[in-house]
Amino acid sequence: MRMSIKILLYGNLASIAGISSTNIDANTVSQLLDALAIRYGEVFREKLYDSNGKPRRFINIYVNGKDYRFLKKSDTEIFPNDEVSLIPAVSGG
Amino acid sequence: MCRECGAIYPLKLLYACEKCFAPLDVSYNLENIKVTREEISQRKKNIWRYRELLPLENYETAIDLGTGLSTLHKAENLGRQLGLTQLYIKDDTVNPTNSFKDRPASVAISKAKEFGVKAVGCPSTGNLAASVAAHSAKAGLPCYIFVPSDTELTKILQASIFGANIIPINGTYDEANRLAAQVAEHYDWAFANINLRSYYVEGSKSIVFEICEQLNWETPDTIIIPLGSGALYCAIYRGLKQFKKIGLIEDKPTRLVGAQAEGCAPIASSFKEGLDDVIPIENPNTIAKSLAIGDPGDGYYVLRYAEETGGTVEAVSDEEILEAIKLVASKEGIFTEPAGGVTIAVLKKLVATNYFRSDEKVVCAVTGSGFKAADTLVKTLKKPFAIDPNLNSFIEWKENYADYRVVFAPEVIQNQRKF
Repeated sequence: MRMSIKILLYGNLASIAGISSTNIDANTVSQLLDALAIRYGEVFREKLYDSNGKPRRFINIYVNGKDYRFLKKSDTEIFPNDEVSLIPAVSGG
Repeated sequence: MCRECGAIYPLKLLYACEKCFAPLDVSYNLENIKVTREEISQRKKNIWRYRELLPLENYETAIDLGTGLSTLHKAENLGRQLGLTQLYIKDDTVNPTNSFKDRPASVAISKAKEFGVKAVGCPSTGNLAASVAAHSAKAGLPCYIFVPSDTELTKILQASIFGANIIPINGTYDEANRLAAQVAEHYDWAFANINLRSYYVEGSKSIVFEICEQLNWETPDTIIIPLGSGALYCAIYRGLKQFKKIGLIEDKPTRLVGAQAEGCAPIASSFKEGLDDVIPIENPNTIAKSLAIGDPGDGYYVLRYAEETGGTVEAVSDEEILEAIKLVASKEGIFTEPAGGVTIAVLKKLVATNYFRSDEKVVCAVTGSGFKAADTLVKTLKKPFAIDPNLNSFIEWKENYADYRVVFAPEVIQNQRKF
């Protein structure tokens, strides 16, 4: 079954996509990132993935406010009305 | 300049590298910097004496509360106990808001003023809050501070008195950090350790510039540095490289040792396991709240630099931290917050493994005052024993209670394991 997830984009990701909020269908974080890359084109894909095809280490991904590294990373399941945020390089400290 | 891909940007408010999102560092044309030791030594006693290596267009407009040239103590008593003849403590408890954070905050808020921003702020575990609040008060800029709701009240009090808006977050520092990043972007505000971070971290280099100058321009053999995000550690690494490059100190190696609390030791754990990157922890739990950052932004680089400099990263328990606070207070007269206790506890731990030569120059960074963490430390305080106001009572006290110590009594610590 296809599901619609709310996506929030920040920083340069929002600039390239031309929007800061959108909806997309996906069952996992991995599927969601692939769908975003297809929708927003090659430049967006290059920002999203490193040369090994993995999500860049300087992009933080949150599923309903929770860091996806504390869930199942790219395999984290997502459900209707979930909110996924992609935030570049929140260094702090 | 991007730390990863080398992309170069003009000096502006920038979140991260626009190509790969990695951190950006300010780069300097080091070949053209000709300042001498003599020139520096004649300048005012603040961080702007190293102005050639700080990123301000005009240092005369800097927001300066008098930060810098804090004391470098030769810790003879502690050194004697530990068998080190050249042990030093860099005492940053004496900065204007009583922590090392005045160094980066002074540079960040000065830069914000240069950029003409409308408001400033930061996420903080507490120390940066007070420092950014104080500097923004001096700069006449509105200030927004995001802190975990369990931040020590003394730190919130200090930030509040400077007129900052304090926003406690129901969550960890990392969650406060993320919200602050969203707020900075939404309102186009300048947050010290977010979109001003490239400038902010430059201020922290001044601690190692001072250490070298105070050692008569000699390069220390080892520096022990408390780790929260790892930004201070990386700033010290860069500062040493720059001082060597412009010929102010001898080009000899310095081991950089990172110090964490066991209740929040993602960098130390990854270093011990030989990992290339840090695995974040979700719920830090340590008395060293100013270091309680579970997802350290510069942790990845600390792992690299610790390897490169021949240093290490160690973690110590809350009990060891409290013992170390007592030790440095009783031997050297310095009252540190738990972060400084982490540094001293790691020193002790490494001494026990024969990590040091007895005559090497070891510098411990004590980065914040004990009073900053008073409401945490007071939980470990054993209530003072009162006597009647007569000589006999005192004589009885002296005969029976002379070993009595009011702070950090072991039985009290046992009851306070969860801080």
